[in-house]
Amino acid sequence: MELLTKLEELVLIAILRLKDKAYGISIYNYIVALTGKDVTVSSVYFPLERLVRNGYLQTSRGEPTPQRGGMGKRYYRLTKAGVKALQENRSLHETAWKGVSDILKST
Amino acid sequence: MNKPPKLAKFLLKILSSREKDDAYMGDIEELFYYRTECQGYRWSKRWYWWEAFKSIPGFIRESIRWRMAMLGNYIKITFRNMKRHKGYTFINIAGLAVGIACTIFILLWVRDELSFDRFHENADRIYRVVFSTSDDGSPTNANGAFGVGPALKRDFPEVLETVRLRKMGQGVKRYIGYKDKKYYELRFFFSEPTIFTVFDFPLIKGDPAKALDEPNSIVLTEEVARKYFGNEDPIGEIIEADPYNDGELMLFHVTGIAKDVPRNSHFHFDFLASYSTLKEDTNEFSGFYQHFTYVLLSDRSSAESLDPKLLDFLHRNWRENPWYTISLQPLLDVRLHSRLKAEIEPTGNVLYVYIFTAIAVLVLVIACINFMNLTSARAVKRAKEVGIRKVVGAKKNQLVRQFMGESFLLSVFSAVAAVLIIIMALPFFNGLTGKGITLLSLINPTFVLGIGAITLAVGFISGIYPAFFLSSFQPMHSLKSRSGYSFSGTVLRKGLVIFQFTLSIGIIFSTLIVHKQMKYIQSRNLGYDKEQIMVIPLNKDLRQNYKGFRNELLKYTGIENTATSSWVPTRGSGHLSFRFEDHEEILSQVIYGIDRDFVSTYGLKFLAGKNIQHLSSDNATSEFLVSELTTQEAGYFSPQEAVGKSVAEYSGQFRGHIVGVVNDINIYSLHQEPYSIIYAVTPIKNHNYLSIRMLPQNISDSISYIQKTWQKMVPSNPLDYFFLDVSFEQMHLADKRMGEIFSVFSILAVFVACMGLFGLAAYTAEQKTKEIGVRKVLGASSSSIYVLLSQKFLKWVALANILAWPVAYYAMHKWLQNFAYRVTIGWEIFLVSAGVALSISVVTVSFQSIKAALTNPTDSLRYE
Repeated sequence: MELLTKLEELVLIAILRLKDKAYGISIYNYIVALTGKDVTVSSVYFPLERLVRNGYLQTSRGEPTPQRGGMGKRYYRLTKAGVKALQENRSLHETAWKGVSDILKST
Repeated sequence: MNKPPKLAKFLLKILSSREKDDAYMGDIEELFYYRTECQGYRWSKRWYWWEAFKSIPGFIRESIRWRMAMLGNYIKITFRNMKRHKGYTFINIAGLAVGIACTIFILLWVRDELSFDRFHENADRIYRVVFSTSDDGSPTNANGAFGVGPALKRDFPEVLETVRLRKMGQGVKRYIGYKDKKYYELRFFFSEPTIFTVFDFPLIKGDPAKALDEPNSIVLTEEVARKYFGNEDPIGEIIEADPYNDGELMLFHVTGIAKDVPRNSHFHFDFLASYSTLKEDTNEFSGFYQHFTYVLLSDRSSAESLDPKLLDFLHRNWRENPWYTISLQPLLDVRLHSRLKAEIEPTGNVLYVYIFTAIAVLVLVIACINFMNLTSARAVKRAKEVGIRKVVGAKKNQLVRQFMGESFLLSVFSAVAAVLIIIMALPFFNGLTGKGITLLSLINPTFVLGIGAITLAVGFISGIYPAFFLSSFQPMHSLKSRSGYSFSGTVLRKGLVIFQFTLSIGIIFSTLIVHKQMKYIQSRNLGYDKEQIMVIPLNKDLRQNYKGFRNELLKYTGIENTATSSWVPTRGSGHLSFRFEDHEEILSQVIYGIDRDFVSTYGLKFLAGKNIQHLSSDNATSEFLVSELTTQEAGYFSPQEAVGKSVAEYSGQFRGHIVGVVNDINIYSLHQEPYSIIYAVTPIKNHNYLSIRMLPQNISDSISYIQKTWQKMVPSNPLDYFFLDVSFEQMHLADKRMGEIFSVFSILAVFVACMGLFGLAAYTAEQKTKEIGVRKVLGASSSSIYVLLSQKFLKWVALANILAWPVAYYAMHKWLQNFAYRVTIGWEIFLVSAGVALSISVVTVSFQSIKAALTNPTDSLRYE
């Protein structure tokens, strides 16, 4: 199993949630809204490119629009490997956190 | 709708690693419009720019990653090629290394020449007052009158300070003693305290403001202090000296120790005595002495404004019709741009700076051409590689970069080799040039940057042609043909070889002329016989004992004659103004005080009249000998006519008539025309030198006899002597040195050029291996093959000769103008330079051609 970074994890979740509307800007907007931080656009692109390289994401091209200066969107979708990686990370997360909340409260 | 800024968009496009990704660009653009709506155009524009800038680090990272990958490949290929063709690699690197080393040596020399006197903080505001006795007022003398300095300071506010330096005699050693340490010293000066404020001569001990204030105080240099005092503290000690060389010892308090004068100063003192000690009237304007005046001006422009006022200055302070004029010479011009009489030390010549810089560039160019030629000649071997690279997708500029890189790598190797050569050859270089450049002084930013710049320049110049040539191959072509790929570089290559040899032949030509001139100078008749004359500076005891000493010497068969005189050729002269009978103008003449044996000792010839009869002159009845030139200047038609004419010294010191006319002699170097000289018999107390003429046989026996006699008759002082011919040679040391430097670098230039020729010949032979095999099978003789391979190169060299001659002729003609006496550039120079170049290239080319011609055809046909 490969560990995902926090950002990669968030990006994967965003793509899952956005369903077939997941492209650069929407993912970026989602992450900005979620974290409340004004992250840069490229900070979303680096995890996206890595995830594509690792085979967790597949892409498809959208139609170009005048709003985008005549350039098309690239939509992202999770592959099976992507889904599996996300699930594994989640269970890892939960295992790791088990019982920690009690300790946190008591301190 | 507002569009994103075009420039930023362009930047983003070329810089971004996602340059080809429409989706990314689209996203950025969409965000831009979104931001424009939310925050306004201004903010979103700013944001867009920011995005563009942010992509720079990524861009650099990415490009370096790819470059590194390709660089690894390039370097691997370069090394493989170097290994496979060791011979060519060696020629390339060795040629370039020698070229770079040569250039750096010459640049070191040039830098040293240019650095003279620059260590003074005020160097650009210090001027030397130079004197002129010529009609047009152009400076003739570095030395001059006593009183000018202080008067200048008094009259002109822009003259902030003046320094006066009095040197005792020209090249005349003075006796200095401390307890039992007694020596004759050469660099004895009197100077004013301002020498420490105008110039930068720091004192290690003593107060610069006071050290030279009191009469009879003296400042020594560190080295001299060590010589006389060892480890003792010299301050306050008393040394005795005979600065006037008249036997009256003067005592001096040591008041300071100065740091040794830097090598690159135009004068060096060992002893600086206080100016106030001088016996002469130091406000006097008339008469030139070994006396030098420097002024510190408030700023550089005032030198120009001062110049027109100087004649008026002389009128005001001296007399209505001055027989000399003065002008100001920048201190920084003294080393290279000054050709005056009576310099304190021999100066350099800017001409040599130019010549050597030119040679440096030429040698480097020759080495670069080698590289270009060999690389482009061997292009065939690389053609296939270029083809494959292009097929695989290399762009042209990538290939250019690759081959440029190779050439840079080679030039770096060469530079490393060059540095090794420099380190090893530095002692030789110092010996050759008389400079004292140490390894330690090489470690400075200028030198390192210099090597870096030369390396880059060499890499660039020698790589640019092969790079574009190689990268322009069509892959189709170069992959299809197995070998013998035809290319069009031959014309250029031919041109380059011819050019290279033109340069080399030019250098050979010049070297021959320099040598001819040097030989001529050494053998030229100077008007007196300079061989076998020993000169001894006179001192008090010797003056008193001269008669006895002379008689004692003449007893010995090896000694022909002796004479005393105020000056001897090569060592200084005094100038006085004379009025001649039947001649209006006052003439400046060199005055030689002599005794009656002088003429025969020096082998002068009488053109008219006879030798001086009386023993010693009184004012009114002096008898004079004059040089032939004097009679011409005075307007007499023949030497005979001059005899009997009356002559008077301007101030009335001497008065009398001419009794004889002798031939002209060269009392200085052959750069100068002979002076007109007046000889007068003067008392021995005014004489500085004893000249001894010896027979050429058993010189060493004669010397030891003189030594023994000296010890017997003048035991108080050590014997100090020199030979006139050696002294004369020293005057031309700079020229001789130039000749030697010239030869060394010309040999190197020719050597480098030959290496290139050798490489090309080897290459041609290799190319024609199969052709030679076929020819031999069909019955060609070895000699016909030899001719086939060599004739092309020899034709080139012949052509180069014809091109080189006019340029070299013109340049050397100019150089010879430097000498008052010069050789002619005869036809034999042309023949010899052509012969040398041709024979060297024949040998070089033959080496390969004969090898190729003698190979067994079965081997050559099997080749490839």
